[in-house]
Amino acid sequence: MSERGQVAPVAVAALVLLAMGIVLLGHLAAIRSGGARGQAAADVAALTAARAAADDPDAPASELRAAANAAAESNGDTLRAFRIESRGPGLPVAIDVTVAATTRGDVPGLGQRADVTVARARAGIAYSAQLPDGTFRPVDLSGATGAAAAIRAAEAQIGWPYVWGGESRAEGGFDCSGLVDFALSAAGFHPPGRPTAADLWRLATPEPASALAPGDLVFMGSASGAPFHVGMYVGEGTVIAAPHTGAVVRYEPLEAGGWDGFGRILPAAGAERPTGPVDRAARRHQVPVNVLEAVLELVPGREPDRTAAAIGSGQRRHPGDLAAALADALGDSSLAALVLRRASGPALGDGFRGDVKLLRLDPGPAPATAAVAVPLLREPAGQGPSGIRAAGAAGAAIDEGDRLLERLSGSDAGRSPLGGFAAVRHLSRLGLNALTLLPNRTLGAIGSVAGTAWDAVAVAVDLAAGGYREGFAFSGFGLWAARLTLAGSLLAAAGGLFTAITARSRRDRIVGGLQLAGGGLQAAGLATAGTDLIVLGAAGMEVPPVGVALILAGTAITAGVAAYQAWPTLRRIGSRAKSWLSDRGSAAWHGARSLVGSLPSPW
Amino acid sequence: MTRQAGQATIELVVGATLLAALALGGVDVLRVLRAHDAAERAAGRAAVLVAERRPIPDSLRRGVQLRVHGGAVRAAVRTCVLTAQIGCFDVGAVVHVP
Repeated sequence: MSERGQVAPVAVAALVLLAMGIVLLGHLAAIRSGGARGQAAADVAALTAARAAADDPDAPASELRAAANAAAESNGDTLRAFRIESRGPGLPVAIDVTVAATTRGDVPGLGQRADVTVARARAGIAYSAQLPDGTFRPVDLSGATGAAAAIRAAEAQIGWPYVWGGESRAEGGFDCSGLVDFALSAAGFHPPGRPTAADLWRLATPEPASALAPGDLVFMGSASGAPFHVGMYVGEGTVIAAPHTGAVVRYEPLEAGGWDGFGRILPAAGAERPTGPVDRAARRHQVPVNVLEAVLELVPGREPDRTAAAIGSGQRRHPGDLAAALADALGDSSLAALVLRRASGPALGDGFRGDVKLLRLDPGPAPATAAVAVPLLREPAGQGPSGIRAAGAAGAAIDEGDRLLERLSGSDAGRSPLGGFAAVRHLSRLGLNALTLLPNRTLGAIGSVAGTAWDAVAVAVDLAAGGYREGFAFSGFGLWAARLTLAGSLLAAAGGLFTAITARSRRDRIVGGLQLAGGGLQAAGLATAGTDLIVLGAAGMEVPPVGVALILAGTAITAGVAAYQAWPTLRRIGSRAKSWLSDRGSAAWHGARSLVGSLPSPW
Repeated sequence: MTRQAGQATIELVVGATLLAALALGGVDVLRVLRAHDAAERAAGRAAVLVAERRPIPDSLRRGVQLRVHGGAVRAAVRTCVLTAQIGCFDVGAVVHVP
């Protein structure tokens, strides 16, 4: 066969390999793009579900999952796992989702592929509640009517600071008659204007103390026909009243107040209800019973008396600010807002809101149902030719590395901050490169083998340091060092191509081809960092796990080729070293023997 | 010059030209990929802000055309290529925010 005939097949093979490499790189770029898209889809899915929970904390989990699923699907991806983090029933505080993005493609030698990139995101929900200014607290009547509704409305104001009168509701009037006026209005009875205690006395039907029923009114100064103080009887010898300036709306014992007149405006029927431990705890610690009920519903297992004591202390520390008092008592402003929402009912309106925010992912494990550890999906290969076996095997090897790295990267978040360390390391590597340029073949061989071994160890060290998790991050001088490495890899690949084309023996062609493959894989691995690698002014770059796998594969090939090429030289060096050691060892042995022999014997 | 040497020289020149063309094309491909990356990142970040109901800062719009309309965040980055005489065009990305 002539030399001319040998060149053309090698050139064609090199071009075919190059084309396959470009297609493979294109597919890898598409996977990377799919990963970015999947991350955006995961972020949006988590935030969408969190928004649904923020708007309605009582929404069922299936509804929230459907919201996340719709968001993921609208971006062409699939929801793989979904988890609601709650601090109690009806208290969702974060949504954790895992989304899978599939990249499909036909890669020569690997066939039809469907590579899945998994992304995870977590969105937090923070609730806040603002009670309306200039009016009494809204209250959820829970279906109560008549006197029962009036009592519930009055009890919700416990702790509200007394503000004297005024002629109208708009002016405030958070005094004794204002409180009763509000309670009656909540029950559907609207006294004309803004009634005073005397007005309420005239509206009421007088009755004896012995006939008092919950919801009835109690008066002071009724003997004059124009009482100056009014309260509402709530049963079991207890009255609610707004007593005087400097005090707050509170429960008082009926017999301790000096009440001398009693009257009824609302029918008493239905207002009488058994007083339970929650009511007693609320009265003992002067806290709104509807708020205490809401806390106990949202955080099951809490003891009513201790909870009421904590809320009461919070109210004393934050007079007139129930939201702050609850946040103080519960140690959680979001929970406080949810309690106020539950206690206030729909009347709170826009006073309640939930804000959502993307959170950093926990370093802990992904959701139990997450598909982070699921291997890459593989669609059935087509029936056509499977391509070059070697390319397929190499692709499978890369694929395995990629899969392993994907699995590892899903378990934890972290980066390998190379930076300055990389710079020093690459400079040292340049020194070894310089050795290979020396005319001395022995030194060149040593430099070549040491350099490739250096690369292999460096990659292994980086992997051990955590680079396998999210790839490598380069910045500063390390970025320039990586650029130099890219240039070196491209030169090595070009040299390999040149050698393969111009080689006169089969051995040299194989060596050249392997050099081309090794350098090309290293360059391709670095190229997965994107254009930050070559664009001046870029602050840094990141080599994803797939890039690390490519660099590793290229380094392994290059190391093998270097060792193969340098083997005769290395063997010669080894032989000389062995003989040198043998000579020196023999001399040392004889020296030692003579030294021992010259020592006086102890025996 | 021998026949073999002439053949090798021609192949070297052709190979070098091919490599140069590939390098130029590669730079352009990387440039488009970079623009696509930038568009995807901008769209993703803007989508997160929209989902969080927060305003999109001007810094995110630097070098990127961002449009939020009908539950979709679209980002476009202008890029120009040297080869293939395509000239300048927009590379876009879209993220849907239900």
